[in-house]
Amino acid sequence: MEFKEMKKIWDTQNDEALYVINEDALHRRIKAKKVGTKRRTSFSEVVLIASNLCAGGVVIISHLLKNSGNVVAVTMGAMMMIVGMYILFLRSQRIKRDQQTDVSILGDLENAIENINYRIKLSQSMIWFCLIVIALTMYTVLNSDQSVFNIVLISAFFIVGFIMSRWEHKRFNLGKKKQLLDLKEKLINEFEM
Amino acid sequence: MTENEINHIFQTWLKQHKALLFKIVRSYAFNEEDRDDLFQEIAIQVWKSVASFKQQSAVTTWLYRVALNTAIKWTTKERKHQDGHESIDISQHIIESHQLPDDRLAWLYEEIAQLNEVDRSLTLLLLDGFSYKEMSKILGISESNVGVKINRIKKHLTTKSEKS
Repeated sequence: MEFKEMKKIWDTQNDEALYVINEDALHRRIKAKKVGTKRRTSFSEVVLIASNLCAGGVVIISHLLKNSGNVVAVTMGAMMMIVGMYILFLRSQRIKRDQQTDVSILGDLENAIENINYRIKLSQSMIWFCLIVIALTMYTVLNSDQSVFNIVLISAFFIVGFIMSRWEHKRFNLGKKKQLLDLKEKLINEFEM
Repeated sequence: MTENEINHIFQTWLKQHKALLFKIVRSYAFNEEDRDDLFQEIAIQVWKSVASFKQQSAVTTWLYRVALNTAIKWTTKERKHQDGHESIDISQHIIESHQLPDDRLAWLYEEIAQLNEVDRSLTLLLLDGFSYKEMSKILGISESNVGVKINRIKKHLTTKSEKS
């Protein structure tokens, strides 16, 4: 069969109703999906910004009001405020980048890889930042009159939080990046003659 | 652009270009559940893309780019409803398929299904009459590379048809 003939056969689909869309079912599924995949990156950013700014603000204000003279705690609060504002800046850069229109599948893939790189960087930075906060908090707690039980409880909380953030980083971000890079490689290799 | 305007454009595109979307779905998904899943994924991506459509290209070119991109990515990952993150009612199918009118069309789909994801996308674009220039824009690769690849695909399909 010649290719022209194949094209004619292919075009017969345009005039026939080979499929029917169940619009109600589609609408329900789109709605469910939109809720399910609701902008994970944006959500993480907002949580990080709000938690850092609020926690930092509370720490600084409470120590200043009490005039405690605890330099370590005030430094930690200031650090949290700075990190919160830095993530706010990164978020505005990401939104600007997202608004740029891509014109090709390869361009789309590159944009998706840029976004996942951004999420990886954000997640890695937060892991290191988290370690500093844990160290400073533990220093403050150990130098206060807290009971052993409270110290164990706070330590356990930090350990669980740290393990969870490592797991999230490996499970979602690194896996997704590998998937996108494989796809890009596949697309490029296909056209290397 | 308001959400109502986006919804209106989305519905219009869906009505006018459903054949285009179904061809892509049928070429990348091979059972009813997968077709539903891919169609819904494409529909979501098309809906999201409405606001960024700047009319610098034809709607069909835009839809092909969005739908092919989604289909290629979809084939590389697990089906969404298997990961347990979303509770989706699959008792009602989104698309109800009818029998293909021509056995040769079924044969053509089978042959397209044997190709890798990238060749599949090029074959669909070729069969739908896109120029090399448009194909190169949609895929983000050079026209000369498209040309070489297309010649191979044409030769492959013609040889297969002679054998069958």
